[in-house]
Amino acid sequence: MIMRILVCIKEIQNPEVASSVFRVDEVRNEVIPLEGLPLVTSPFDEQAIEAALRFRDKQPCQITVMTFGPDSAKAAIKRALSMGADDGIHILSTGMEQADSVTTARVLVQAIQKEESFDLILTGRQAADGDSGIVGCGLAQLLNIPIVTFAKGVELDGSTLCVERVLDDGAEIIEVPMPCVVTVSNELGEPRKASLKETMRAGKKPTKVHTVEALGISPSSLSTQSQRQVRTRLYVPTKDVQCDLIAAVSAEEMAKQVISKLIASKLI
Amino acid sequence: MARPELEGEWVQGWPDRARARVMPSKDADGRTIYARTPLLELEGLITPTDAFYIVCQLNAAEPIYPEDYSLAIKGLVAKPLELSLEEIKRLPSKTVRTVMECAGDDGEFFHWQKKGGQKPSRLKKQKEQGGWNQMGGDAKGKPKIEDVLDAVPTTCLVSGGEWTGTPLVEVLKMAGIKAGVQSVYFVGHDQGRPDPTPQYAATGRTDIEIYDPGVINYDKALPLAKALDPDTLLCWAQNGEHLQHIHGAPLRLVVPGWSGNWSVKWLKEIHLLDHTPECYYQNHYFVHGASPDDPNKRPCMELGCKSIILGPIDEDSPLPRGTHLVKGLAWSGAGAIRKVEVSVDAGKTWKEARLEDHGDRWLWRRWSYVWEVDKAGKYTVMARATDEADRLQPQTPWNYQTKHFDGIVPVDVEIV
Amino acid sequence: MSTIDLQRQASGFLVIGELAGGTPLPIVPEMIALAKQLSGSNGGPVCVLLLGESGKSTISTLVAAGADRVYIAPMPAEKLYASDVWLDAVSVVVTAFTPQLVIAGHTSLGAELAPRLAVAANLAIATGCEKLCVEDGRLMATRPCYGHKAREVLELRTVPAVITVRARSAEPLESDLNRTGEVVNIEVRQRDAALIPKIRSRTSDDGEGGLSLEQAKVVVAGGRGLGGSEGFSGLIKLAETLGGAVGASRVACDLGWCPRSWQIGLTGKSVTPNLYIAIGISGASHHMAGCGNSGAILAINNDPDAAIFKDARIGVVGDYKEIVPAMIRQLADLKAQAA
Repeated sequence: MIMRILVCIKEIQNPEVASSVFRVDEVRNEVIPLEGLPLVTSPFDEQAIEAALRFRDKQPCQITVMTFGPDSAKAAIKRALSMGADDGIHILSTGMEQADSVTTARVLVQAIQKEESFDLILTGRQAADGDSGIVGCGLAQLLNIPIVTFAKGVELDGSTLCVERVLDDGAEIIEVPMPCVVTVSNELGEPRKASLKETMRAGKKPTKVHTVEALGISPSSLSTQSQRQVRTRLYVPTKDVQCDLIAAVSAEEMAKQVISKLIASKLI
Repeated sequence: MARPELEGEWVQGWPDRARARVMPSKDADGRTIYARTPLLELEGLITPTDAFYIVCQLNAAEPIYPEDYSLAIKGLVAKPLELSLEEIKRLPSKTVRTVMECAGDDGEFFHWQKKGGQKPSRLKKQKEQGGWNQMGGDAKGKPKIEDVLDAVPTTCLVSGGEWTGTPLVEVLKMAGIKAGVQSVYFVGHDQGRPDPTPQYAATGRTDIEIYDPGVINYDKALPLAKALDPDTLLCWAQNGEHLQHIHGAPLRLVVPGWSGNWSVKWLKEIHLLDHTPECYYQNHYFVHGASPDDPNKRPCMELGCKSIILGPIDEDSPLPRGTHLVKGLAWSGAGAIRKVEVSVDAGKTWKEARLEDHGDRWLWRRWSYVWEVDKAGKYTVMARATDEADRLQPQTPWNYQTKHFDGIVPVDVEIV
Repeated sequence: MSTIDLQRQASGFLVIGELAGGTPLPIVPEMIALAKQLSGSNGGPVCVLLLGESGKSTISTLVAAGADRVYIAPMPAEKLYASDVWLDAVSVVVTAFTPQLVIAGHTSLGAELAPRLAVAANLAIATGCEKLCVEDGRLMATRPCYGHKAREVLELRTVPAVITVRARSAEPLESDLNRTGEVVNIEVRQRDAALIPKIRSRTSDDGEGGLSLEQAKVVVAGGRGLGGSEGFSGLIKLAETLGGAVGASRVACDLGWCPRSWQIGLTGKSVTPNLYIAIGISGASHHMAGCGNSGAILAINNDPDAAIFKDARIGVVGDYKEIVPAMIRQLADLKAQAA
């Protein structure tokens, strides 16, 4: 029986968008999507896919990728299949576009429970849009399995799953009983590019598509439940900083002016 | 480094080879300000726009809405003009296919020829963040040469393009060229303070005095004869679509056969002058000279005569005995390439390669040579080009700014 | 579910009392102060949960910082994974006295503990909060999102609700040794240890010791513009001279120029010093996520167009390799004169 790994991913607006062009609709409390800029897979989720692939570099396993998102999110599944995942599961979020993290976790769990059980569930430590870091933990609690967050490495040591976890001031190695959830942090490193071979095979890899109704969820029931915390405002903080640019020629003079300004502002 | 595995991507919904894209260097806001062409991934003659090399000496201009655009023609003209893009497009127009090559393309091969060491590789990808614009800074910044070359390799700064526009001479005729004109002076909207870092890298020295003109607009003064060449164009389109912003939209100059710095982007003004004014980018940078103090320094103008080998490359070895295709591209600043020859014995003997015949004088030509090799061993493969003016590669002597490199770079092949 | 009127159902706050080397993390007194702010005059007890045996001094420090009650949960015998042990302990306490709000630091512990608790008990959750306030009896949490480019305000509609906060969400109260508080030992029923992850080993970053980045009043940080690991030696000296700590952008850490523990940003540490000196840092928003709430930013960068100048109070366009040594020299001279 080979190991079954599930990677949960999210398609988002490109987080590398420059602050200068990032805009928010403060009436609808939504980000204004940038025309022409393609959506991407949240970078931490790409690293979660990479973690699964590095696992497979060492021992055979089946890698399934799952997403809860609109129709456009099928591109994220395709990209994951092109990196090397074996099959995909796409839960359409039609009617639930405003679903928050906890709701997302509940939906994913419904789909997960329809599948043969996974030994390891990987996901990014947070989505690079919401930055909440809730879904991974939610999956673990709802599935009643252990979780380890902020992984920079996931390996099998014999039959023990070992996770190297990033701490605020160091690292720890955790032995985790499976099945379990592991969230991946950027310290894992660069995800691999889609190879030509895997991209060409991706077209033939199966992807299941579910509606939430087919999973036994009625959007209206979950949207009420979504109201545990409600966004009342979304805004871009104005920068009211006027930069005092020092104009001097020599480094000595620059240093002198910097220090005198710092002292005058009581900053040192 | 061996050749990387072929990448795939989804193109128009279908699984496909990854499109060739530039190797970019980006600024803090994620905008590309420098980019190299992935020559080894391409085939054919026209470099797709997304793979076309980019060099911005100063800060890229702010975008200009086409309807707001206006080009001023001044100086020794019968009638000074302010032309809108519409008016320029109404003039007779044509399409010219030409190589565009940065004067600094392959400059590091000059260093390699002199000092040896690691042979520069066209496979090398620079990091996306941190181009030379972000390294040296002001006139006192002196970064390490190795760091700059690492951030900005000089290979792959050449592309083949299709340019649509009106010949410059049409606009000059419209304004009326008065007697006594010696140069046609172009000013771009791009502005900034020249960064000495590229000159430190080009010369391989940080001890030279580099003139600091302060904040300037990019400018070049083109000799009248080349300005009147029917292939010197004011272009609004590249590779079948309107110019992209980073390539100089809405209107740029294209000077075929001369190094890329002559093809001024984001055109602002044209002046007809009775002299050749001093311009930073042709008097203080982009100059040929034996040393910084050479009293006979002259501006870089026409490119040399050049061929490059794109297959096999050093990194392909070891290769099996049998049949291999030696192939590459060749181009010249004087016009069409007439002949390419290949040697597999380090230049002792030369055989003529097959040369693609197409009607575009300024566009590079594909060449290839079928090499049958049945003996194991180390081989040195070379190629050399001859152009329509009967110039034989190489034409450019070593110069302290390492510009216009057109030397013969051998490929080391091991046959097993 | 209708909104909860906090003042009518006020029943206290629970602060996760994370310790390091036996002492509370500096964020703990800040969370206590925050709880005090939110509780107003009749908000109920501010409680802190500690894990394991704690010395009297730890408890009195917390009480002096404003805690009304300290719960102590036993430390399990084996090296069980931290958030599992805490989750079990928190569940016991929350059932015992139903706080309005559970507050954890946004640390590697808190960022995992809080969502787990919220989902397990179906509670409102907001992570990485900058600001908390009560508006018309509603609890509102402000948190950054979109790579720190935006802020969202969330109304937390359950009692209790759960939050994690970043450093300096509130100023710690003046330590008052006359304050008293009660100590409550709790029992936690242990789950089957076979189902809980185990800590096999732990390594600590070999830092410069002493001042932590999150608590430093001055931070000197380096980015890609330093050009290499040697660049940090000047920054270390400058930080020493100013009594500050050294940090770095993610890029510098990814490139291996400095320990990962120096990383400041959206991932990495969040710092709020009075003065943040950004050297060779371009100022991308994911870095500003870690330092944007500093009192003032001084930027030294040789690119006049670097985004950091939009966030900096004072800016110098120049070469740090010359400016930083000059600053160190001049500061040393000033110190000598003052002495």
